[in-house]
Amino acid sequence: MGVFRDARDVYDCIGKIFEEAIADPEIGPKTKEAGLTIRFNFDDPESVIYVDFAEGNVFFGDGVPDTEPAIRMGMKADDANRFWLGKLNLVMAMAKGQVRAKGSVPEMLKMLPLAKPLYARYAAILRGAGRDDLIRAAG
Amino acid sequence: MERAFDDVDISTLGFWELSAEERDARLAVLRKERPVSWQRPAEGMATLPGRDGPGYWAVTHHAGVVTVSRDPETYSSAQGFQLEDVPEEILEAAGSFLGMDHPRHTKLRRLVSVAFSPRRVRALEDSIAARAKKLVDDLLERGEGDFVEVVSKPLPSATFAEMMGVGEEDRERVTGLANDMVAWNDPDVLQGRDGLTLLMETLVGLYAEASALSDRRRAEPADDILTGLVSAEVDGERLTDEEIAAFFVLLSVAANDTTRQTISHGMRALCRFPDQRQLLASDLERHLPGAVEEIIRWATPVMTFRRTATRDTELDGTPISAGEKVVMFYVSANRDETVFADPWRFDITRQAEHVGFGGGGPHFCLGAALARSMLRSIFAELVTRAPTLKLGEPRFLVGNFIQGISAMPYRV
Repeated sequence: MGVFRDARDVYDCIGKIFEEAIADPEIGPKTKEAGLTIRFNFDDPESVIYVDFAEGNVFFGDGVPDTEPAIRMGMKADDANRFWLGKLNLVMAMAKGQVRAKGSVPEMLKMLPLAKPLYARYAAILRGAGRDDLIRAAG
Repeated sequence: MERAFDDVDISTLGFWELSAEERDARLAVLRKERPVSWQRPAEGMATLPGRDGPGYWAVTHHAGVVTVSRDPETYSSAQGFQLEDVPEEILEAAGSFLGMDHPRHTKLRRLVSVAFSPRRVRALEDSIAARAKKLVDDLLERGEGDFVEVVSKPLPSATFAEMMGVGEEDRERVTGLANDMVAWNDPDVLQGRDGLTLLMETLVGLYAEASALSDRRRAEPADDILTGLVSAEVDGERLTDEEIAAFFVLLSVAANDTTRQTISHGMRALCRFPDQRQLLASDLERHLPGAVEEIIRWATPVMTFRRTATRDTELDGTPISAGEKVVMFYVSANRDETVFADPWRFDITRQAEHVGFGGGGPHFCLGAALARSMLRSIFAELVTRAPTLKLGEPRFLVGNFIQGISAMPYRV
């Protein structure tokens, strides 16, 4: 059983951090410039987030577009939670098969540094929603 | 103030595609006229487009490389160690203590340094000599083939694997990944991939190996480096899987991609300078230590490493500002005519000290004694037992980090 209650819970937490990243006056323009589309397929609970950084849109579940994204990533929702709390080493997670990635590695490497300053913001989202349990679950 | 880049440009990939002699013709100008020169950002496939910095200081003379190596407080390793601006995520995953300063560097390096001590290396000498003998048996029996595959690659690969705790069945795979990892600018290895994809793929591959091997060693401890790492503590804490994996990447690259190249370049030098080959064969005991040092100077398998200035300073009269990149060109320092007379002459009787394992200081090559032991063993065998060995044209690795020979035909 994963740490998120259901897909809605994933969208409220993980989805929210993407929305805040796009809206952020400092990070937003950088993600827009990178102009990537990324589709995240999460397991446990099964959920899908599609982020169009160029247009500044985040789509969830049934609402995700059919267009093939530049990058596809697959992982447990728990591991996404750990990633956003700065507790998941991506190289090791890929080596262990916990994270699967398809698409341009250089594009991915361009985006990764933008995530780091958002770890604290994600933790704040969780705390604000009374979800300290998710922080504790990340270890 | 915008600073002009040096007229002698050593930053293009085209420069690194030149032959060693052609490259050195340019480096020689810098050594003589501007041993510390300001260069535009290095081209390369490990750099994200648009993410390179303003440029770097190229240190091309012997004295400068020694100074920078021995002053880690002024020249930090913790803000990148490659000539290119490799993304931080990759450096962190691959560099371990190579990309750290004191005190973390000292603590992590100490965990493995005992395995490379002269005493431990002496204890390995018999098995290294036996392995070298067997490889030359094989070389003679085959009569012809690829010198790199038959001799240069297997000796360090097997020695490292045994010390580290990599089983026979995993050896080929680990060596292959380590060899590919340093080939991020080589079109033959890339096969259409970009350099960052290659780096990420090989990193993930080596992490997977490290993770599986660490799990095995936790269950079945043995007398090897990995067992030491999974049980080691630093500041009262066990190393994380990621730290062990980064160690594994660093050591497998350091072990597999240096001695291998030195053996190939050394054999090539002995063939190109038959008088030196003859001299060595005439009195092996007397000349072997000097020959090994000259082979290391000649080969310079690691061509460049970078530091970052931690404060405003001056090197050889050139002011350097805090935060600026400083790149040591070992490949040039080892041809410095003020230290090595007639530097393009291979001379096993030289006395001058090369910077083949770095120029001293805390990052001096941990495996130096081990490498010397392997080189002594293999060249003693090759010189005495394969006197008719001839080499064909090598295929050189393209890149700005490892001076490599990917393949080189031989015949006896």
